[in-house]
Amino acid sequence: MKLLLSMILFFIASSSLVAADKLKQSELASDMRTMLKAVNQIQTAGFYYNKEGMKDGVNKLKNAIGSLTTTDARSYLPENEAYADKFAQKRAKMITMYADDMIVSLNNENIDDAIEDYSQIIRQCTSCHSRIRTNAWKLK
Amino acid sequence: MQRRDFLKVVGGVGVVAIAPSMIEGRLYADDGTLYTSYKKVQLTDAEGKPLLASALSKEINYVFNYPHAGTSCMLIALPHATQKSVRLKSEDGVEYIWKGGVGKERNIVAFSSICPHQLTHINKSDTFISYLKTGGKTMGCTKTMPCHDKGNVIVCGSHLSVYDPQKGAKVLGGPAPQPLASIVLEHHDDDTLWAVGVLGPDKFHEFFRAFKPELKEQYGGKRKAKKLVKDKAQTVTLAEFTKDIIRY
Repeated sequence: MKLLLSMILFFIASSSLVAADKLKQSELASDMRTMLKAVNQIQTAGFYYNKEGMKDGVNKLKNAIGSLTTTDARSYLPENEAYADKFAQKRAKMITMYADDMIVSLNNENIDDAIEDYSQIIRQCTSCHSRIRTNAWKLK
Repeated sequence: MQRRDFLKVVGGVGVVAIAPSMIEGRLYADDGTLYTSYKKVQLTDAEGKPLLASALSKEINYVFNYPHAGTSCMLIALPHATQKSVRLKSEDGVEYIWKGGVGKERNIVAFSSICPHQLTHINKSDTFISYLKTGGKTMGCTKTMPCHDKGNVIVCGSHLSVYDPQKGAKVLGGPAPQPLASIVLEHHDDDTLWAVGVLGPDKFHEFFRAFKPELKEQYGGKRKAKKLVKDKAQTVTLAEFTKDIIRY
């Protein structure tokens, strides 16, 4: 009886873990969409030198990327790319760093630095996507 | 021409011929291509004592900052003598000659750690680019490559560019468009090591532009990180320099 109970408990626990992983992946997809919108907003606002619009976009980006910097990257990376967790996490931290610097640059009216920060944010995004997502797509 | 002036000219030319590294900002490679000389700087150990070539452990990653306070370089005593006069090519097609390693065994080499692909570099918080010792495995050396499972390569773990340190950091594989810039070393009779310049296309300008926030955090600002190193460059192992070494 004890064995049966422990088996049931184990099954429930493992199912909930799988569900949690799936949830994380759906959250990740949602966060990624938010980040894409935020990046678009920064760019559009930048074209019109709408400083507040840019700042708002940066804050949205920072909020959405928060989960990437705090969650174990192995939980959301494709299985065959999970080894690259530190690489992915580093890109997320760099995006946060450039986002913080962009706010400072905008507050200092330093549009050149802000644009440089923006291009570095895009570079970090593409750096990760070119390695992680390209490999994931190749296997499909 | 006065006799005194003539002697000055002869003397000046003689000094230049004996020690070309004494001319700052002049060309140094065989044909002078892609060489920039900087302050001649002595490599020292962590205590500030002169670093002796014979004291270097083979195949260990050492790090020193040169020519700027915030630009890290890797120093390696390779297991074998390097090749001599290797012809390398920059991204824009300019060819230059890497003369080879220094030291009694001609096996000591130094390169800027800035990967020319996306500027990954050795830094204090974590490091994705490093030398992989003989026999080491890396995803960068795929089965079809001669370096597969053999190590003795420099690997940038960000996008898996692989460089051959025996051949002046020539690109063996991956997306890197050109070799790592070489740090030109001099080995003196008293076994001391000196950095005198940079050979090959460096990425310092792009680096300082791209990593402003990081440089602020690690060196107290871009201006401080940009300062040229004078007199001495402290050399430590990579494990001492950085908190985390990441290899793929």
